[in-house]
Formats: sequence, C-alpha cells, structure tokens
Amino acid sequence: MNLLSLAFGNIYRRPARAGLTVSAISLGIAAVVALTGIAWGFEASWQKANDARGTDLIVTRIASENAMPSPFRAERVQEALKGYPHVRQVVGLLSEMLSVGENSPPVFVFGWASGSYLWDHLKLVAGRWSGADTEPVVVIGSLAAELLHKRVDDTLEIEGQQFRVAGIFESPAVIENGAVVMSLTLAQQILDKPGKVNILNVKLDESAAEADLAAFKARVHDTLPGFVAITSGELVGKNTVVRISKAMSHATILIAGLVGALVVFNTMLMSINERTREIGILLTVGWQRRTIMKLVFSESVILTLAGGLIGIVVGIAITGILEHLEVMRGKIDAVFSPAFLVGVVGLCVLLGIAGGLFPALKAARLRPAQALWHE
Amino acid sequence: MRRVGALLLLMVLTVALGAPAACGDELAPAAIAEAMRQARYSDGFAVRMNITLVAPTGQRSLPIKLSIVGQMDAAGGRLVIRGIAPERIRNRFIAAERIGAGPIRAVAYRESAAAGCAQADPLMPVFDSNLVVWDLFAPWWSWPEPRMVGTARVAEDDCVNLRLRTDSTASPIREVVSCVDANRHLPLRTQLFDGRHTLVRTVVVDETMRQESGRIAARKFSITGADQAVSEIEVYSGDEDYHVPAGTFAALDTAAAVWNHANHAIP
Amino acid sequence: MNTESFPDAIVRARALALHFDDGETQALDGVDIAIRAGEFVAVVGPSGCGKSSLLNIIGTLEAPTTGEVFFRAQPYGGIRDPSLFRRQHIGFIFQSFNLIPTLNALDNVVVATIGVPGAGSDQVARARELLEKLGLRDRMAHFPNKMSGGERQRVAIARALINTPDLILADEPTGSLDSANSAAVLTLLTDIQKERGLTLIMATHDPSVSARADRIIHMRDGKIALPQDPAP
Repeated sequence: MNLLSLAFGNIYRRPARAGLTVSAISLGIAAVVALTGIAWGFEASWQKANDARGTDLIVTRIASENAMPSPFRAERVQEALKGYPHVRQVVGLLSEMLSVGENSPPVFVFGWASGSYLWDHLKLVAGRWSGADTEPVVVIGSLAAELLHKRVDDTLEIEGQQFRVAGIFESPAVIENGAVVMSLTLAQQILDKPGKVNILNVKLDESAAEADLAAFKARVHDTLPGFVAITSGELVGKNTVVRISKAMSHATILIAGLVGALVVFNTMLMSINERTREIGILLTVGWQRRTIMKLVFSESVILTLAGGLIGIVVGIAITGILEHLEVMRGKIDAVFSPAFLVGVVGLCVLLGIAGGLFPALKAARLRPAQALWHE
Repeated sequence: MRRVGALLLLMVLTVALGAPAACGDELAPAAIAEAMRQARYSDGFAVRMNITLVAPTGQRSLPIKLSIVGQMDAAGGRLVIRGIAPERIRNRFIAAERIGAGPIRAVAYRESAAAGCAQADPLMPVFDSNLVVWDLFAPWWSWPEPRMVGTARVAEDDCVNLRLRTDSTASPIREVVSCVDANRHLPLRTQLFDGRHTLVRTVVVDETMRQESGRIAARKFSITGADQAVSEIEVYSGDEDYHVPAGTFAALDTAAAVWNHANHAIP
Repeated sequence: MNTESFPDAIVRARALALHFDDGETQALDGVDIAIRAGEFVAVVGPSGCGKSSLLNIIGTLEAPTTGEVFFRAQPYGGIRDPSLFRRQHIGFIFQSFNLIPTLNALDNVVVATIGVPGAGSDQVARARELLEKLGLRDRMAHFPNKMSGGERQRVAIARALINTPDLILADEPTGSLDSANSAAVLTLLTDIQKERGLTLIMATHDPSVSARADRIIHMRDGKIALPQDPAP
C-alpha cells in the first residue's frame, strides 16, 4: 500500500459520491473538448480550405468579419494587384450559403474563376470538370454528393436555375468537400452580383519572400483604400464566427473550470469532514501535515483526472456524432490536437489542486488530539 | 445621395438608421421618423429571402425564395421583386415605384417586361405571403406629426412607440404604430391599422445581424396578418452596395406613360 | 517529585499545566514527572484525573498551557515537526484501537510508514513479521470490523511498533477487552517492551494492569497524587 492506493481506496469507499463528482466533471470537460474542438476545427477548416488552394495572400474589404467577406466590385482592385511584384495570379472567389433543392440542407456554393489555380488542388473522383465559363454545370464535393444525394449528370436547382452535376471531387478541406463549385461567371449571374467577389486570391511566384509579402500588404494598405491584404490565417482570425466560437469555448472552459473546482471542493470537504478521526489517527501515527495534504490532493486530482479523461472521450464522441448528423455534416471538422488534449489533462490537474486546496489545508491543520475524539 | 445600409432594411420594417445612434428619449418623434425615412436611402440594394408561410392551424408551407432589388432617395423609390423558387413563382416579377410623396404604383410581369405588363395592386400579398409591396416603401415615415405613445419591450429589447397617422382617405393604412429600438434604430414591431382601426398586419423582428458596414439589420422577421397566418422571413443574402443594371426598371418606365394619364394607383 | 532524580530520564516534565475553557477547566495542574528509558510506568487514577492529557502532551498530540517537557533533555518547544518526532520516537495504543475501518490489518500497520523516505516492501515485510509475532498470521487480510477486540488491539500494537519507537504511550489499552484478552494483550505488550527495551507509559485504572508496571504514578484532579514508587 502507498499514498496513491490509499487515495484510490478513499475514493472507492463512496462510489456514488465519487461517481457523481466524476460525472459532473466529465460533462464539463466534454463540453470544453467538444466546443473547443469544433471552434478550432472551424478555424482550421477555413484555413485549410484557403491554404489548400495555394493562396499566398487574400485581398478583401477591411471590415470583413463574416466567414466569407461581403462581396465587392473586383475589377479595379484586381487590375491594380496584377501589377504588383511577384504576382502570378489574382483570382476572384464568390461564395454564398444556399439551400440547393427543396428539402436539402444549405451548402456553400463557390464561384471560382475558370482556369485559375484554385481548381488545381481538387481531385476529380467522378465525371469531368466544367467546360466553358458559362456552361450551366457544377462540380460538387464528395460530401455534398452524399448529403444532396446527387451523382454525375443529376441536376441541381440553385436559386431557381437548373445545373447539371458534371463531376464529383475530393478536397483536403471538409468545407470544400461539402460544397458546390461553379465558374465565377455563373455564380455572379445566379447570385445577381455581376463583377463582384468576396475575396481576391493572390498567388505569388516562388521567388517571393516574407519581405515581399509584407511589402505587398503595405502597398495594398497605401494604394487601395478600404482594402486589406492578409494571409488566410489572418482572415480566419478576423472571422466573427470563429471569434464567437472561440469566445464560447473560452467561456465554457471558465465555467466548467469553476464548476469542476466547486464540485471537487464540495466532495473533498464532505470527505474530509467524514474522515476527521481517520486523519487524526494518521497524524498521531506520524503522518506529516504535508503527507495529509498530498493524500487529499491525490484524491481530488484522481477525481478530476478520471472526470477529465472520461470527458475527453465523451467530448470527442459527441463531436463525432455531431459530425455525422445529417444537418451538421460538412459543417464541423473538429480538431483535437495532442497539445490541446494534454492541456485539458493539465486543466484537470489544476482543477483537482484548486478544488482540493482548502480541504487539504483544513485536513492538515487538524489537531490530532481533537480529531481523534471526533465522531 | 447618402448611402445607407438600407438593403436588408429596405424591408420597411427592418430599417437601420444610417446616422450614429442617438438616445430615442432625446429625439423628437418627427426627428426619429425623418431619420428612419432617410435611413432607407440607397443607390442600390439587393436582398434575397426565404419566406415560410405558417397557416393559423400551424401548418407550414415549403419556403418560397425571392429577391428584391431597388433604389431609394428623397425623390422616391423603385424596386423589383423577382420570384426565384419554387417553379410556380419562378421569374414572376413585381415592379413598383413611388415618386416623391405620391402614390405607390405596381406592375406585374413574367420573364421580362418586354413580354407585357399588367397593372398590379400594391396591397396584394407578394406571392401569397404576408409581404406587401406597399409596406416596402414604408410611406408612414413621411406622414405628418408623428407622436410618441410610450415605451414597450419586444423580444427583450426596449423600444419607443411612435404613432403615425394619415388623414388621406385614399390610403389603405391609416395608422401605424412602430416600436423603434432607439439605440440600434430598428423598428422592432410595426402594427398597421386600417381606417376603422382594425389591425391589418404586424411585423416583428425576430433576429438581427451586423452588416458589413457595421449597422444592425433584421435577419429574421415575421409578418402576421389579420387572419393570424404568419409569414416567417429569413434574409439569406444581401448586397448593400448593389449596382442596379440598366433596364431593371424597364417595366416601370413603360407603365409610367399609362400612369401619367390615368389614376390607377393607390396612394 | 524531583524530576532531577532521574538523570537518565527519557521523558521529563516540569510544572505541566493544561487548561481548557479559558482556564476554567484544569486537566493538568503542575505535574512534574520523569520517566527512565526502558521503564514500564503505569499512570493510574479515576476518570478525568488527567491521565490521557498527560499522555497526549508527552506524545506531542497536545501542547501544555504552561510547563516544559523534555525528551532526552531536548525540550519539546524545539521540535520543529511534531509529526516526524512522533513517527521517529513514539508509538500510540488507544483503548478504542483507532484503526482505519477501510484498511485491512496489514494495511492498518503499513499505513503508519507512508511518507517515510525509502519505505516500501521492507515495511510490508516488517508489518507481516510483526503481525505474525502478535499471532495474527491468518488475520492480516481481515478488516477491523471482522476482528475481535483483542485482535484489533494487537493490530494497533503492531502499528505502534512498526516505526521502531523508543516510547510507547498506551491509553487504557485493555479498557475495551475482556479479562482473557486483556491479560493476553498486556503480556504481549510487556514482553515486547522488555525484549526491545522500550519505555512504556500506560494510563489505566485497572489495578491488575498497573500491578505489572515497574512504577506507578497516581493522579488525581490533574495532579500527581502520591509520591511515586521508587524505581526497582
């Protein structure tokens, strides 16, 4: 027997209470894991979509806070950007979340300039790419094909117009996998936004260095009032939805942390009160006060760690279920980085220490002579 | 012409003021009404929306999609409503205009104005919904002597009630009570009454959003008719800086010649 | 008594007083004692006379209101860590056994070694050895509620011995036992005390127990009541 086994034994002697405590903590941690994973995944997914396209910089309106910035007239800006050093391509992108068909969930509809590099990262798995710029066809991501129950040569109704599915593709980004892609010209036409794009994707040549990127940004700032050149990461960082979801996950961490610490505090305090005489015995037989504190901390950390580990599993499971729900498919691509999960485990240890601190101090301060007579 | 985030707000009822927020208590009712009217000015806007009809029995219809594009300024306004989906309303158009404080006039046509237009009643529901062309122009903001009639709370938000009346017997709506969120400049609830003081329609903002310009606009709102049928409206796309293509209002130009010689309009 | 009369005293107390309730209750009132190393001293007297209080103070479970206690001439006031002091020098045995109900006999002994640097399998082996010696070879896995009073007290004795103390403080160790068990436990205790040369201070009101002591200290109303018997 050692301190740890004694701590386990003390927890096990009240299985119902320990179970409730662990359940409460695991629910909180599950919420933290799920929300944070979704928030980070949302951010990562957008960034992945931008990065996968090979875009070096994005030029858009300064005030853009939405997942996709509001559309603007591209022509003047596009022409100006083409004259910047190292610029290989400046490609417009228009996007809208639309319901496609009467009973289908809304999906992203992207309009990409025909023949641009934006298409290069997609892998065609069925059918063909669209031909002429104005050919009324679309290609759809594999997830979108599944969600919309569409195959090659089926038709899709988008904003009252019929489009034939020319091909089905796969993309490294789940957002694109769940999307419908058409030529920019078609997208501008059906959305009644002629000449407009949400963002301009800029691809630079290989010789462009970090300093060139910085110079590009500065030049946009100086010469194109109202516009900004940013990386995909910066664009995603400005995204209101990403900000809100991150704020929510932070708030959840705070609330779950407070509740978790309080639950552990309550449990350990009850346990210490019940075990006053035992602690008196341990002090009498020579346990040092710091050993008593270690015992209490061990118990509280075991509770929070158990709750945390269960919470991580439950959180990941909940996210997995959400990802597979019909209405959520293609919208969630949760990310659980090892560093984050280690952080959650660290949070659990902190919760255990925070929740066990007062009970541990109380136990360690007991006077053995009085504690021995405690009933 | 001052450009405002009138787009989604064109929807009468979901207007956001372009001017910086001011405390409603400090503004005279006439000033608020004038600010609401000016907030609708726009060189061009486009908005698309889903409308779900909910019958008094609770039965919900499949949503209809439509788009509205238009222009508004002190001299009047023009707009075109186009049915997008389902098939039965696809490419059915309603165009309407108001010149100055004059009557609101509307025409309807299919596919293109060149194929022929028919005079339309601006009070008729748009594609069987509770959306009414006449309301889209919000003529009540020009009515004289608006009065403040207390405060209310709509969906957790405080607002001040403005009562606007017209003596014009030609007007189908004689009184409007609009509860305006003075801080966000949103008409959170608008009630329209006829000459016998019967409530004809109520428009309530259910959900708002921040636009690119930073202004708050309605994203979801509902219109309840006298028969208690409700139209739930969700704006899913908008452009507050829309370049109106030439020919968009061709039907109105054609009809203008007729209107100039006859009095078909409803004020 | 003259506490200086035992120059080889392991424990010496001078003018000990212990007051409760702002001085209204005097558990001890000017107690002077000296206990020699290897001695078995019985502290006798009626209930409430201060026997347990005296043992508590000697065992560092309680601090006196006034007075001084010395352990091998070291003043208690200079002890930085009373817990460590107890572990190194003192074993306790109580009337009510004070075993931990959720631990079996073996663990109740081993638990006293937790926190000792280097404690581990050696301590378990030592606990087994002690329990075997105390006749509990087959009872090591039993929990206190499945053991007789005599067995429990033997577990408590093993626990008191596990850290090889110099001094055993026994507070009415036979008070909860029948006469047969009482005699057996007492014999065990005194045998071990003699065998190991331990100092044993035992509070008791049982004359048959005190009769086996080397010396008896009588207490009454928190004071030493009679001159101590001379040391043998």
